[in-house]
Amino acid sequence: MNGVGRRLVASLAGILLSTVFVFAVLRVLPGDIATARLGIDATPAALAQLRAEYGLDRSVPEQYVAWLRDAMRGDFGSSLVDGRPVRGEIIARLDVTLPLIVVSSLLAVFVSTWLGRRVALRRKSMSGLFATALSQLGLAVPTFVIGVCLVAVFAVQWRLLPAGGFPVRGWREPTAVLRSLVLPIVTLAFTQCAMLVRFARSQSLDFVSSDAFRTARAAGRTADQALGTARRLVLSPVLTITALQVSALLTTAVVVESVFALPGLGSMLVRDIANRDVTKVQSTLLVVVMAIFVVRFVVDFVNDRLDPRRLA
Amino acid sequence: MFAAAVCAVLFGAGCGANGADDSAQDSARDSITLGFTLEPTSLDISGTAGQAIPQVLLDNVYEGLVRVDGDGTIVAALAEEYSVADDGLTYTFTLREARFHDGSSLTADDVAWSLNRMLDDASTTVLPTQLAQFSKVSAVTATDNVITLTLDERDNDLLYNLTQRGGVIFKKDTADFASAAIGTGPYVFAKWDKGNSITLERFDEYWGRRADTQTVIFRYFADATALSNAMLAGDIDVMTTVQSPENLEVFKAREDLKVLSGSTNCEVTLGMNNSRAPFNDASVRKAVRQALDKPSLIETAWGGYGTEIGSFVPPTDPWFEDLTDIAPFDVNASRDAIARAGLVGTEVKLDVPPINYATNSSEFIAAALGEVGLKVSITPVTWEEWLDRVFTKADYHLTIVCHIERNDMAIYANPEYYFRFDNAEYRDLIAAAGNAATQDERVTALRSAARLLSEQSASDWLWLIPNLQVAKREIAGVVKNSVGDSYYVARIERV
Repeated sequence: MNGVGRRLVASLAGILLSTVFVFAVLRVLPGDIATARLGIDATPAALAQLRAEYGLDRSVPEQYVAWLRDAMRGDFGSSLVDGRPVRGEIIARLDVTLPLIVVSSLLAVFVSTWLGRRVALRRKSMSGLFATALSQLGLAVPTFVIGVCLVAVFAVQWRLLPAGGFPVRGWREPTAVLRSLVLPIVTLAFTQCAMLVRFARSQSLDFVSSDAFRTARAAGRTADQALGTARRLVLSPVLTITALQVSALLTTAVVVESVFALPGLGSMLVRDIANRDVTKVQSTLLVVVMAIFVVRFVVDFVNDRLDPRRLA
Repeated sequence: MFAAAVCAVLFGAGCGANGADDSAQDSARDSITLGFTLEPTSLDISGTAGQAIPQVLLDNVYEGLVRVDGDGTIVAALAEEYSVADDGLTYTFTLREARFHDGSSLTADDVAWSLNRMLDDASTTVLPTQLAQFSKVSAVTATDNVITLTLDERDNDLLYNLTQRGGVIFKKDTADFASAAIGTGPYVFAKWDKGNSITLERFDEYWGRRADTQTVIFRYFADATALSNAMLAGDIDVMTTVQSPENLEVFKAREDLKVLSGSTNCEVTLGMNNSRAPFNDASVRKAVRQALDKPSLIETAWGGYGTEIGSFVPPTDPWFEDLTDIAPFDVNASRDAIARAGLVGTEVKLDVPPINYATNSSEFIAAALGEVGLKVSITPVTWEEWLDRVFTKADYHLTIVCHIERNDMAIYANPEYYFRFDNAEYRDLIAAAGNAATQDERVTALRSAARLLSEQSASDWLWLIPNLQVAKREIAGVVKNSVGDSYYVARIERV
C-alpha cells in the first residue's frame, strides 16, 4: 500500500487509540455526573437511580462500544448535564475557536518565516538583535501575561478594543466579532511566533552557508533576493513544527479563552470535564483528535509539494 | 505579504469600528450587563445543585408564593396574603392573579403540583436538600385560589424555604426543567449563549411593578481578572463579585465607578475534625482559635474587608450576639494549652480547596499555628477531592470552607457532618428552636446554641465575607446584601 494509504491507516488507528485512552481516563477520575448534578447531600439511592438513567451502570467496554457506534453514525449524543445535542454545541464553539486558532497559526507561520529570514542576514545588527530579544521574551513570558498586558493597554487604557467576550449574536455581527478576536489572535500568534522564529532562523542560516546561496549571489542577486529563493525550504519545517504543536496550541488557546472570556471549545472542554459530562467530553475530544490528524495530513501533503525531494 | 494583509484587516476592523464601548451602545437599547464568575450548568432550578442557577432565575424568571427582599424581610409574591395557624401546623395562602411567560394563567393547580414535587421523597428530579426542607409538610391542597399546607410538626424555617428554590412555582406537568424556564417573574428567559451569557427580557404582563430595564444580560467570566478588566474597560455595568478585595483600590480610584458593600451569610470556617486527634480535645481547639489574630488575618487574606464573628452567626440574624471574647487572641494561652496537651511539634494537615479565601488565609494560619507548637502542612485539594475525602469521609485534620447558606446552624446538630461535632445539648437546642412557638423562644434557643458552639470551639470562624460589588456611577437599584440565592435585577436601572 502506498504512502498515503499507510498514513491514513496509521491515523485511524491513532484516533481510535486516543478515544480508548480518553474513555479510560474519564472513568478513573473521582466523582461523576450524578454527584456533580445532585450535589453534596445526595443519597446513594438517588445517585444510583440517576446513574442508571444515564446508562452509567453498564460495563465500561459496553458503554464504549455504544458510544463509538453512535459516533460513527454522526450521532455525538446529548450533554448529560442539560440534554442539549453535543454536535450543536461543538459547532457553536468552533465559531470562536476555529478562527482563533487558524488565523493565529497562519499569522505566526508567515510572520516567523519572514522574520527568520530577515534576521538570519542581520545577525549582528540592531534589528537582528532586537528580533532575537523579542523571541526570547515571547518564549519566557507566559501567554496569559501577554494577554493581560494587551488588555491593559488596548482595552483598559486606550478603550480601543473590548477587554474580552464574544458578541451574543455571534458572526451575525462580524465587526464586533473581529474586534473581539484581534487581541486574542495577536496573543496566541505572538507565543507561537516566538518559538517558530528560531526554526525559521536556523533554517535560513543553514541555507546562507550552502552552495546554492553562494551561486545565487554570484549570479548577481542581493542577499535578500538569494535567500528569497529558499522561501519554501524555510517554510517547510516551520509548518511541520506547527502541525506537531497543534495539541499544545489547543491548551494555550484555553488559557487565551480564559483571559479574554471567549466562549470557545477549549474552555467548554475544561468545564465539561469538571462536570464529568462524559458523553460530551468524549465526543468533543474525538472531534479535536480528528482535527489534529487532519492538520498533520494536510501539512505532510503541503510539505511534499513544497519540497519534492521528500517524495524521492 | 499575506501576514500584512491579515494584520491590516484585523486592525482596520478594530480601529475603524465605533470606538465607543459595548455598553454605550446598550444604553440606547435600554440594556444592562452584569458580570458574574460562575455560570449555571443547566436551568434545572429544583434538580441540579449549584448556586448559579437560582442566582439568575429565582425571583427574576421564577417566583414562589413569597419572596425575601434585600433586608431579609419576607414579602408576599404570588400569594396575595398568607397566614399561619397558632399551632404552626397549617399554612394558608391566597393566590393572586398572574400569568406565565407563555401567556397561560397561574392557577392553584400549578402551585399544588409544584409543591407536591417537594413531598415525594423518592424523587430524583428534586435535590435532596430541598426534599429535606419540606420533610415536615404532609400535604399540599388547592381549592379555588387558596393553597393549604398541612404539617406534621411545627417548622419555623418553612416560610423562608418557600422563598428559595424549593418553593418555586412551575407550570403544571413541566417536563423539561434543564433547557427551558417558563415562570411568572418580571423577566422572561430569552437566550442562553453557553459559556458567554444569559439574556433576560422584561415581561410586560407581569402582575406586579414592571421591571425598570428592558434587557438584563448576565455575563459569565471564567477568569476573575477578565471580569475585573471588563469592568475597568467599561464592557460591563456591574461587577457582582469582587474576587480579590485587595484590588478594590483600583476601582476606588476611578471617578466613574463606585464600590458597593453589603453583607452575606458566608462564614469562612476553619473546620477542625472533632472526631480525630488532636482536635477531639476542646482545649486544643480553643488553643487553635486563640493563636489566630483575626483582624490581621482579615487584612492579609481579604484586604481588610470582612467582619470578625465569634460563632457561626452573621450579624444580620436576629439571634446574633458578639461572642468574640470567648476565645480571644492570646498567643501565650494558646502555647500553654498545646504544651499541656503534650502536642508540641505535632504535625497536622490543612486541606485547602481552590478558592481564594482559603488559599489567601492558609499561609497565615500555618505560620500562626507554628508559633504555638503545631506543625501545619498545607495540602491543596480539588473540590471533587474535598467533597469526597473531607466532606463525605471526614478524613482530615483542618480545612477552610465558606458556609453560605442562611440559617444553617443545624449542620452542627448532625454528628455525621464533616465537623463531626457530637453534642447532645446542642442538638436539643436546635430542636427547641425548630419547635419554638414564638420568635422570642426561637431567638433565645439559637442564642444559647451559638454560645455553646463557641464555648466548645466546634470550629473557628475566621471572618464573615462582605458582599462587595463594583458598578458604574449611573447604575441604581443594585441589591447590596446577599440574603438568599437570588440576584434580583428588577429594580436595576441606568439613571
